[in-house]
Parts: sequence; structure tokens; C-alpha cells
Amino acid sequence: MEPQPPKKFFLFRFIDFTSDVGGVASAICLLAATFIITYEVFVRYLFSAPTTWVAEISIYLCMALGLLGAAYALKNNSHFSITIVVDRLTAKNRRRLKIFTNLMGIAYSIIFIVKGAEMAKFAWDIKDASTGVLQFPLWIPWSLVPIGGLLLTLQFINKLAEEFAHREG
Amino acid sequence: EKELKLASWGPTQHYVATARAEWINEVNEKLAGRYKIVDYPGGQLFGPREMHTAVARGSVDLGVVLQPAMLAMVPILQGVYLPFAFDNLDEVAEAYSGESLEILERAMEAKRLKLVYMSYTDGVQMYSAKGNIEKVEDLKGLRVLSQSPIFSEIMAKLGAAPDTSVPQTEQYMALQRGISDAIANSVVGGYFQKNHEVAPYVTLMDMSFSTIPVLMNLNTWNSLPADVQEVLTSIGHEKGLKTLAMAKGWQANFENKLKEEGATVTEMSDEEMEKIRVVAREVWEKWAKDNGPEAQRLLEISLKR
Amino acid sequence: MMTLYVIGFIVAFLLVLASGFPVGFGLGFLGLGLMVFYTGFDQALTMGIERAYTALDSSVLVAVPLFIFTAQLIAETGMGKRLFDAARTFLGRFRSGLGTATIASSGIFAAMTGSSFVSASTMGLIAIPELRKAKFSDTLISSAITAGGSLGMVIPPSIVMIVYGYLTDESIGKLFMAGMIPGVLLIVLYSAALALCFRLERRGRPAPPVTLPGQDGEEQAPAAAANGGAVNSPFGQLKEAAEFVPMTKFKAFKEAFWGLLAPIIILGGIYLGVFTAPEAAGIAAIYCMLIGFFIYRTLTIRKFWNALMSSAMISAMVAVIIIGGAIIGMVVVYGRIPQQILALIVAKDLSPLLLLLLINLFLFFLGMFLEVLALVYLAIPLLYPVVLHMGWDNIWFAVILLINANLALITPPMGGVLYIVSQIGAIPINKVIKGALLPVIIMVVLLIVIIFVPSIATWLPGMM
Ligand code: NA
Ligand code: NA
Repeated sequence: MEPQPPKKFFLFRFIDFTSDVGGVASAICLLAATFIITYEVFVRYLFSAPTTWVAEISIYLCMALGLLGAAYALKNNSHFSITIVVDRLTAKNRRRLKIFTNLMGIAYSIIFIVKGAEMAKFAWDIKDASTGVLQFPLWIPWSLVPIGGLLLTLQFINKLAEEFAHREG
Repeated sequence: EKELKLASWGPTQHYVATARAEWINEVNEKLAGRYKIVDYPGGQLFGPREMHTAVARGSVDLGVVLQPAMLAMVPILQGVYLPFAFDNLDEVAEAYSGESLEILERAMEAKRLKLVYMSYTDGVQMYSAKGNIEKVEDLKGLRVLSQSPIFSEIMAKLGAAPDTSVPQTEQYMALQRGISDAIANSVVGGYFQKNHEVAPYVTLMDMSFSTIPVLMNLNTWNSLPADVQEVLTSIGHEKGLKTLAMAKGWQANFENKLKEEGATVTEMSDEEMEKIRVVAREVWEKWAKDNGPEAQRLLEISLKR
Repeated sequence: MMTLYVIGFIVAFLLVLASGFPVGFGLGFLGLGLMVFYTGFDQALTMGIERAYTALDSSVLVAVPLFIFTAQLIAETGMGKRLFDAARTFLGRFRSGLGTATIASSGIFAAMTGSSFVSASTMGLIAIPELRKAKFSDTLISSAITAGGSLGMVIPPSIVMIVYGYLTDESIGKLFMAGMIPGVLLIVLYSAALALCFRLERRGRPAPPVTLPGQDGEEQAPAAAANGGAVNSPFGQLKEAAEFVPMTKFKAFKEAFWGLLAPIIILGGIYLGVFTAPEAAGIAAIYCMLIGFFIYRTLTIRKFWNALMSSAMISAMVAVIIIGGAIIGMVVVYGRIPQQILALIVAKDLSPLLLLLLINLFLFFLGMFLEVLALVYLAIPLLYPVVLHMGWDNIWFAVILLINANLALITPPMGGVLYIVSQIGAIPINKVIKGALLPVIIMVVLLIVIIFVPSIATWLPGMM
């Protein structure tokens, strides 16, 4: 286990908390998708009464799973990354690089907030609905994009702050 | 020379695609040095599921749209896609003219979509794995794959079990393995998607006629000079009529291909079709009532034929 | 000019990957940056985010997290361990038999799911600890798991073939059949190659001591550290499997019974038309839950929650990669890069064989940077006219494309299966890439054989 920086500022504990909430929400979405898909199989096979909602809702649950869980995965340093080069750098250069990449991460996730919100609003304005039978209002799944982006932005800020804390510590 | 990006999908051998290729060529020749349409085929940029939204947003200038896929966004379009309301393709083409076309264009423009031209496809028939549909009773308990709410509603009223739970990529396997019994598709479309391999009993019912419009983002459209707009729509109109003519020839041609590959193609009797129409009419009327005066007017125009 | 552009693109790509920035974010960031050149700032961002959304908005992808969850449950309930011990017992005293067991099990997964990610992650969780105990090197472990993962879409059912059939007017049933013989050949070749490499590796080394719990930990720790803190990875759940005790074949069968039943239920359910292949993922997860809670009684609420949380986290990571890959794929499409390369190739008026060779190189190159479906959607509309023009057999070409698409999964820098193996096994990515060389070479060899002996692809479908 990596030693935690001695004392975490309240704000950063709060950020970790938001990521955890995202992770739990994403786990619940996964469990829900598992159950509704099995439910679909049962009602279709046993009663010839397929639902009109499972196919579509399971897609949205899986979108939520990905978008809300991304910050939680980041908090746990779990995203795939290639560290062959980074491992060969001096500690100082590695920290500089990490600060730089975390800034990149902040920029990337802010785009998800801004553009995601724009799209959600667009879907709301033109009352866009899904192609399937459900005609699900699309501003709802679209809203997951800025929410996921926000969680990610916060966690990238947290990671950036950690790098600065390391220098002092 | 300005580029107009066109996103398309589906097999390039389909007559709608070949007519579109001609449209692109002829437009590009006429507008050489000023505008150039560049095609991104095969669903590279967007597929039928999201195309209309992408065009509305302006992510692409032009898009090939599957009309039934945009019914949720522009509900009034259901008026020209009411199952069993049109006897043949010419009636549908007629609905895309005059007063009813104005209603439809207004509705699309409210969603930032400009209709450039309309392509027509052959009628939607029934492909069954369980034998041809001869009577309404044959529909009882039939698990029909569906993506359309109003079609599902009519099928359910006729005693069938419409199933919207199987995604497109799994439909072939579902029919092969017996999860589903039947699927609604046009003769040409069904042949391309290999429906007859797993559901070889084809009953001609002309349930509805899906259209494939080429749409342009309204802002992009408004930025074009009037003469360029004119070139796009006039050549487009010509190609649209060409698809109308081709639809009939291709349907006949592909009916033979289906038979050659072991499918049984039959037609439903007028008597049985009339029984279905009685049930369907209730559904159309309910739809028109729920969708306001323009929908009422559209249904009126449609039923006058 | 074009060459310069392509080189610039690759350099930027490698820089982003080398920065240690998570791959998914890096690809997306780079893709948005490149897109700005084509459409301007605002439009690029809009299209990028739209692409991110549509990439996730897919019924095909629903099965991925569900199968990941199943994989976690198979590991947590001890079902995987029982299955593996049975395979070991039945395959006799050969340690290299474990390699065969891995490939065979992956083949079963491929026939169940068609998802390479899932096959690789499930087999990774179960097989890596066992392979380690049998003293397979990290490189050879990577060979086994990446090879197994690459079977996913060759053995039917296969989403690649469905897309191909739809876009080119070819029978999907025949296309499925066409993948069968190449798939079985791959299983045989992989198993033989693994056994051979294992022998070569062992030669000249002292016989492996009897495995003791904890001994493998020493090998894992530095590897994990080199992998950039993968010790904390959600995959770091590789259990120190309990000591393997030799047992009778009957006992092995009894122990593994419920586990062996799982693929039968899943395959049976799909083939008897009870559920679709993606739905099988949900059924599989529920089945494992029931076995774990009520039959093996190895699953506690705590273990269950852990499995759920780590599945959610892994799925989120996959989603981030899918988004990044989709955004970079959009740039490749938008820039019409493949068309320009292809135009260069076709214009030269080459002999059919040379043209085919160049097309394969082109597909291999694209596959390095694109994920499977992106590659297929891009390649078919581009190459199908060439197939028609040259009068090639469509089914034969479909198989060639299919194998190239599967190669894409295990070729760096954009090879999803590579990263999964690296994370699950806490194996440094360079070792994984080295290990993946084995299946890559075998697939390329098979590709060459199929080019010269088309009947491998066309015989079975012709029988229908
Ligand atoms: Na498969
Ligand atoms: Na690759």
C-alpha cells in the first residue's frame, strides 16, 4: 500500500467521498442491469411477454456505470496506463510530468462538463427522444456526461494537489 | 471549394445508395469549384440510430436518415408511416407533396432539419420462421421482432407478441435459435439483412413503407446561396423519383431471389387485410387524437386516398 | 505531405502513451486536439463528446460489464479454481497442459460470448495464479492469456461477421461457419506453441521446486511495482490459490461439477433459443451468485460487494478506453487517412497477390490504432469495392478481415486485451507485448496459409 499523505485537507477528503459515491452508484447500476436482463429472459421465455424497457434501460445503466465509475477508478489509480518511460525518470521529472498530465486530465474532463451540459440542454430543447419503443427522453442519459465529467475533474484536481503535497512532504 | 460532409450507412449496393451516389456525382459536377459533397459511408460517422440528432446538432452537414428512427424526435412523421394505412408506395409519395409535405417540413425545421430529398423503399412485409401468414389467426402468439411502438400496438391487438427486447445485432441469431418467430422487413432490406435464411416464410402484406430522407442541418442550409439550394433539391427530387420507380422493380427482382434461395413468398388475401385494417384504424385514430390538429389533418389527407 | 502527416500522428500518439497518462484519457485528449485542425475548436469538442456518448450508447456493449462481473464472481466463489484443478487432473502430469487448459477454456468462453475482453479477463483471473505456480514465465503467461483472448471473435458467434454480412450482402450463417475451422486451428496451434515454448523455457533450468504458498509473491511484487502501482489495481484480487492436491478423476469432476455446468447452461441456453448471447451475460452472473451463496457457500455479502465494486471499476476503465478509442477513430475517419493510404496502394496497378499483401499490411497497421468494431466499420466500405473489383471470394476475404480484426486486439499501442492482461496479472506492459508476439505470429502464419489455401475458410460454408 502506498503511504497516504499525512493529513488530507477537508476539501480533498470531500472529493474522495464524491468519487466513492460515483463508484457505489455505478455498482448499483451494474447490479440493476444484471437483474433486469435476467427478468427479461424469464418473462419472455416463460410467458412470451417480453418487456419494452429492459433493452434500452440496460444500455443507459451501463452508460451510467462507465461515466459515474470513472472517477472512482481514477481515485484508486486503476486506469490503464503505460509507465515504462515514466519509471525511468528522476523523481523530480516524474512529478513534473504528473502535474502536466493531471492538468491534461482536468482539461479533458472539463470538456465533458461543458459540452455534455450543452448537449443535455440541446436534447431538452428539441425534446429529443430515443429511437426505440420507449421513446426515452435523451436529456437524462446525456446528463450523465457532465456529471461524470464533474466527478472526474474533481478527482484530477485531487491528484494534482497530491503531487504538490508530495513535494512539500 | 467548400466541403459538405454527408454521413451515410447501409449496403452500398442498395438502390437507394446507388441513386444517392448519382446525386452526389451530379451535384458535384454542377457545383464544381464552389461546393463538394463528401460521403462517409458504412456508418463510419453515424448510424441510423443517431443520424437525425447528429444532423440537427450540425455535427455533420448532411445525413442519410432512416425515417422510422426519427419518429421519436419528429412524431408527426408517424402520419406517413402508419402501418396498413397506405396501399402502395405511390400513396406514400403523394403524402410527401402539397399540404401534407408542408406540415412535415415545418415539423422537421422546428428540429433544425431541412429535407433535401426523399428516397422511397419497398413495402414492409413479414418474414416468419413458422410458416406463411395466411389469416389473422396465424398471428396469434407470434413473437414478432419490432422497433416501432405503433406497429407493436397493432400487432398486440391482432394477438401477436411483439418483441422489442432483441437488439438489431442479435436478431439473426434470435430467429435462428427460435427466441423470435418473425420479423417485419422489406423484401429488398430483408434480403440484404439475410432475414430469409432464418425466417424463410415471407408474406407480402405491405404493412408500411419506410422512407430514407437526406436531411441537412438547417443552419448549413440557410448559409447556402439560393441557386445551390436549388441544385441540391432539384437533382435530389429527380433521384427520389428514381428510387420510387426502382423500388417496384427491385421488389419483384428480389422476390425471385428470395424464392431461388429457398424462401416461400405468398400474399395475404384482401379479405384478411381488411380485417387487419379495421384494427389498425383504431390505432391511427388514437394516434391522431393524441398528436394534435396537424396530425388529425395529416390522417385526413392520408385517408382521403 | 501525407507521409509527414501520418508520421506526425504516430509520434504524437506515442508521446501521449509514454507520458504515463491513462491510455483512455490520453487517446481522447489527443483525438480532440487533432480534431481541432479539421473543424475548429468548438465543433471539434462538440463532435468528440457526441462520439463519446454514441460509443457507449450501444446494445452490444451491455454484455461487457456483465461478463466482467461474472468473471469476478467465478474468481470469488472459487469456481474457477475448481474448474482449473479438474482440467489439471484430466490433462495429467504435464505442466504444459495448463497452457492447453487455458486455451481450451478460452475457446469455450469465445463460443459463449464473442467478447475478447471478457475472455481475457476471466481466464486471466483464474489461470494466471495457476500458471505462475506451474512456473510459466510472465511472458509466457501473457502469451497464453492474449492467445485465449484473441479467439473471442474468430469462433462464432461473432459480431464482426454480423456486421460484415450486413454491409456486403453475404450470408451471416455462412460467415459464422467460415470462422469455425480457423478458430479450431488457432486453438490447436496455440496449445502446441505454448507447450513447446514452455519446454524450451524450462530446458536448462533446475526442475521447479514444489510450489509453496507465498513463493510466487516475490516474483509478483517487483513486477507490480514496475507496472506503476498496479498493486492497488482492482484486478489485484489474484488469489493465492490453495495448494493443488492430486485427486482422482471422479473427485475432480465432482468438485468442478457446478462450474462445468455453467458453460453448458450458457451455451445450451443460447443454442436452444432461451436467451440471446448478451443476455447470457446476465444469466451467467446470476448463476454464479446462486452457486456461490447457496451451493458452495463461499460467497459472503462482503465478498459479493467487493466483486461488484471492482467489476464496476473495471467496467468504468473499459468505458474510458472505449471513449478514447472512439474519439481517435473519429479523427482517422474524418481525416480520410485510410482512403488516402489506400488510394496510394491501388493506384500502382499491382498483381493480385501483392495487392492482397499490401491490404493485409494496411489492415494490420490500422489495427494497431483502432479497436475491432471501429476497424471493421471503416475497412468494409473501403475494401469491399476492391474485393468486387478483383473478383475475390467474399467469404474468404471476410475471414482475412476477421483475423486482422482479432489481431487488432493484441497489437500495441491500442490493444485492449494487452492492457487487461497487464493489469490482471500485474505484468509490465512490455512483457505482455512480448508475450503477445506468440499469438500474433501464429495468427499471421494462419493468415498466410488462408491466403494460399482459401478452402480453410470456404469449405465448411460451402457444405451448407
Ligand atoms: Na465468439
Ligand atoms: Na491494436
